[in-house]
Amino acid sequence: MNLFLLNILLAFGWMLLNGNYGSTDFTIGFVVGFFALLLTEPFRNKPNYGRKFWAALKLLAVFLYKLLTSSLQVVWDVITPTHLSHPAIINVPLEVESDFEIMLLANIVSLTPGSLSLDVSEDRKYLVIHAMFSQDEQSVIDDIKETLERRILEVTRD
Amino acid sequence: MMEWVVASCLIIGVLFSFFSALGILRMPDAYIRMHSSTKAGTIGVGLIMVAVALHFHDTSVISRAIGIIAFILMTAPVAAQLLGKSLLMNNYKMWRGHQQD
Repeated sequence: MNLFLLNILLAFGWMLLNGNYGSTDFTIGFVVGFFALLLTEPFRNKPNYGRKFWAALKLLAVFLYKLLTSSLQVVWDVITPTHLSHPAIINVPLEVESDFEIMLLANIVSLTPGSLSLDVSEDRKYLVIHAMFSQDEQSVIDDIKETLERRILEVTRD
Repeated sequence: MMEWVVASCLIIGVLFSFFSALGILRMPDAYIRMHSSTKAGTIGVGLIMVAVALHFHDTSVISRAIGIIAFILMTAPVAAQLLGKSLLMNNYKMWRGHQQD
């Protein structure tokens, strides 16, 4: 996270040195800064910035894809005359621990297919979700844990 | 070429917003109505903002569009979560399906 801020700082430095303040200059500066940080990886304690950056990009791509498919699913249920939904309220056991990770997971769950996060249990062990299409509860739980939680952990953990 | 991209983003975004509003009227219970308003509403506003950014192609407009998208992505799930939590605490009955403790 600190390295990401440093990367943005490097991009601003690039803009200052060039005297141009457009979005293309920012992008170029960001890419140059990214490779500069990659070059200094061997000197850091935990050389994982490249891998984490890649994991964050993958998380973003999966998130956008899921947001699109979930919207299409909901729209389809809205415009067809029959109600297809089969709702259930499910407790998903959590592996993530910190506030930031739980916040990220709850927000992403809310915006992905057929699930809406309702609550986190007092002891932070369970996320209570409302699933819209749940024929089988275990498969809903597995889907969230496999695709979303694992990817979040890849980004936030070392 | 760019005009076509902008126009299609706008039209799809408006359609998503329209269907999310329709979903609030049509869906059978409050939980599912929230699905409609959160997901379809978010992508509707997001696409409209992408169209605005592409059309004006100006740093100040683009940065504002990115800001709007970021805040929608952050706040829509929070609002839905608070509504859902209050429904859950008041033992709101779902129209079908079942509930774990």
